[in-house]
Amino acid sequence: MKKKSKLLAVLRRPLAFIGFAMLAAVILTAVFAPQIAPHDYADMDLTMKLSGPCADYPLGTDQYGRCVFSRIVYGSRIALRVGLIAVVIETVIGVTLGILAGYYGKTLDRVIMFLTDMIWSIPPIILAMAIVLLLGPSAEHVAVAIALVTWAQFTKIVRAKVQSIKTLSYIEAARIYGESDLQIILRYILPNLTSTIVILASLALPSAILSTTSMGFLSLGAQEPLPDWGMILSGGIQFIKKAYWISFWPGVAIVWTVLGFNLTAEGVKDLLDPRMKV
Amino acid sequence: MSEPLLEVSCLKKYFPTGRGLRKSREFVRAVDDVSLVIRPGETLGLVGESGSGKTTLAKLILGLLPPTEGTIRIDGTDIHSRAYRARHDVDAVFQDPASSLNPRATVYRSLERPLTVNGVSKSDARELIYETVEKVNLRRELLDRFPHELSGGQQQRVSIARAIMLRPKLLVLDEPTSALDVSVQAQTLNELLDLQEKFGLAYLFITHNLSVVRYMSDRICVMYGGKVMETGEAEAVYGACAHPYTLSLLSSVPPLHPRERSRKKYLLSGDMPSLSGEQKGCRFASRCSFAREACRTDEPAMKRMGADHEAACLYAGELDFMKGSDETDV
Amino acid sequence: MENILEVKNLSVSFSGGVQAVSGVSFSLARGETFALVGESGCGKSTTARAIMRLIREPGKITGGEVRFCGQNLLTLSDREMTAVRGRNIGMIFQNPLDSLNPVYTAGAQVAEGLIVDRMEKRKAWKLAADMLRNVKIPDADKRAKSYPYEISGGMRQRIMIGMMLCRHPKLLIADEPTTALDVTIQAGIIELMNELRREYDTAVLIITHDFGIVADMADRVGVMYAGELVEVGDVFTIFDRPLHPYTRLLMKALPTITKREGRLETIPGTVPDLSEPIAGCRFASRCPDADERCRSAAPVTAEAEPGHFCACHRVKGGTANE
Repeated sequence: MKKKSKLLAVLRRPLAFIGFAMLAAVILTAVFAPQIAPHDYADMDLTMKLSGPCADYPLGTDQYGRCVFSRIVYGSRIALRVGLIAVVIETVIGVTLGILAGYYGKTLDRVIMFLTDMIWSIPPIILAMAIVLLLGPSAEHVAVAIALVTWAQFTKIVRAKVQSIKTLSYIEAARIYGESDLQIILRYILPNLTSTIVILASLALPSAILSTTSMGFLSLGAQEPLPDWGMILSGGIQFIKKAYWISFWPGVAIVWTVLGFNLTAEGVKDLLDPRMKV
Repeated sequence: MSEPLLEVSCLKKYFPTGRGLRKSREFVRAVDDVSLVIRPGETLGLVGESGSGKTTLAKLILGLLPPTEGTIRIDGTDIHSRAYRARHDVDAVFQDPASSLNPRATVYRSLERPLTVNGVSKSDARELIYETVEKVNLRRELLDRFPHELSGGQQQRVSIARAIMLRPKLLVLDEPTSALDVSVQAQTLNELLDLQEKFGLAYLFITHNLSVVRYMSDRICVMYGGKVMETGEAEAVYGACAHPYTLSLLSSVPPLHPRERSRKKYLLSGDMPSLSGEQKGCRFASRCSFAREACRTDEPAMKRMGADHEAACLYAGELDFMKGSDETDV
Repeated sequence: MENILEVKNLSVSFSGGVQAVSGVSFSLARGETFALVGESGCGKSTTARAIMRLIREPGKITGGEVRFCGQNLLTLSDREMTAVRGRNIGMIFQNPLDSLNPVYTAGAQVAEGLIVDRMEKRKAWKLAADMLRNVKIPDADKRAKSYPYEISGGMRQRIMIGMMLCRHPKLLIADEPTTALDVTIQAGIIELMNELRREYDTAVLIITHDFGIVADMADRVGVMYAGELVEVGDVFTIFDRPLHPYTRLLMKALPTITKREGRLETIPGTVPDLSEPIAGCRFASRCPDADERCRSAAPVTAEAEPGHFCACHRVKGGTANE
């Protein structure tokens, strides 16, 4: 009841509503890609190379005569999937280490903090590239690479939060009546971290998608003929004067998606803020 | 006199200062050689300023911190021994009612958990919860609420219910009413007294409010700088305190009536000294208006003042508190 | 005696129609100490903030007057009000750490106010150091060069008092100034404030929940309940002959006895929800003496005896109906 009215109040804000609508469009596109796309993403029509927008190819074709619109539509699946996998992995790593460091402190804390500081001192995109080159280019490996370079931000914030929760009286009371450390973490600390984790994850998702497309741009992500947005964009650069649409529309798709996620994340943050009143 | 329920002897807790990999050999002596007893069914009031070590002492007694030295015995069994492991004789109520309860659990879940963790079946737990909730005057419909939907007084009653759920023999009450309003405080204190009578509970009542501690306590223990300064029957300590620190504490309590404004105050000057490093002499000497040369060099031992009344002052019983600080020679 | 502060029918409400303060009236004479006492949520701090016009959104002063030396503060422009704050009315708060700026030394912060008053810098610094000595800070010259984090809570509150008094304000508002401090430190601060208000001839409005502090400091007392001032009188009168049932019960709830002597009085029930309109007396639902009239009509404040005001149906003409 209360939650519902709060959700409505957040959605009534223009920016949150626009963000949510943009995001919904992306998700629907990904789900119904086969229905929306007029062509398959790999279908080539060599007679129609680099042709401009027309009734058959709403956003034109690329150098192999493939439908840019269809490729972008299917590409949404790759962007969302890689982004989601990356965020799930980084959340699990980051939150686990953050809880361990914050709860146990001492040597374990020092070791984990040293690790996060190390990760933070290496430019993330370079580290991610190195990891992908090591594993071999593919969409899944990009997700793993992104997760491995971004978990540290989760760790730092979760650790600080756990340190403050740990000192609260209800944790001490739980220790007095005999809860084990594992039970305290699972039953008392984790539930009180949920809003923090959801907010962090919703902010991490758009940046993970952005990183995915950057890796695609460098041809380290999903390989041809899979329609990675970053890869489509970089592939079109050499034809930019003749056929701007190959690079332009994937760019729009990236901006659209990231903006939609960011605006929604802001809304989620307000939604989970207990101080916000309806 | 009955056998002690809680026996703390020569208890020390030193926290290392300094951080990093290399530990320094400096310590903060938060609790330094404290001995005390609590008998079944009695209330020991523990008073002192912030930084006196009373909260650290409470955590040691609750087993939340390992002691550096010394022992804590309940009914003769060391709480860190194997024989004590399955027992649950001490529980606690903390100062801040809002942070004492898991915000994500209903009142019912908060009360059920201590029971299920200790092997009580869910159906037995239900009965016990209903019974206990009645004892602390909490309406049953509050059981399905979340802590933030309760008032401060109600939250504190839930904490008390949780603390007595496993039928402990001793409750550590760490400033249980200092976050509450006067009228709610009175209610809570009365309920604590009723529970004590009903269950024969012993209380360790920690507070900085000297009127509250006087209302609640049978005996009083005054701490300063990690050490016990004075202990004794409440009446003896309030009526004829022997330690200059107790005197300052008592005279700092605001009057009950504007008529008493002109009473003599023994104000403390300066701040509490640092508790790290080597300590020499009496801890209170630097702020004591009665301090003499010997106070700065000789560590005072507990001096017997009466049947159950001791003070750690070299000149306990010799000082003329009415006359004031004329005798200072520094 | 001339009144320097007159609060008339002051009302403050928050969003959702919560009447935090409703129709509060009282006055302070020059050099007098007036204590507003009550439990949390009774509106005592909101009243103090309203006098200083420090009510933040979503709160709003919805009516009444605050006359300071004859001038209504509520009609001043923001700029004029800024000049009144600090120079004519000083204020100290509960948490002495938050009230001092952590990046300036104690001395600089005391001198700052004097420099704003166009005092020459060197003179201001000298005065500031004198002031620190005046609030009995040991090693005042050294302390003037210390930063707030290097200074203990009690000392910080002394610095706040010094900072406020060095501009010789006519009124000092103290909002729970000793609540965060130990009793021993509190006793020192109370003694200091009692000394200095005589020396500087400053009127003091003290906000507290502690009747002990009232007994130690106040000349007159106002008891607040649920946003209303229910009783006002001389401190001796209030302690000897409290008239309003709330005041009487509150005094009996104070732990002044031992458990062997009996049990404390308690006040049944809880404070009413201030977002709903209340017919009748706001204390009626918890009052042991309440009757039909109390539940239907709001009582009017009346002078029960000279200088002793009370808002209770059962207290008219001087004595309480027991």
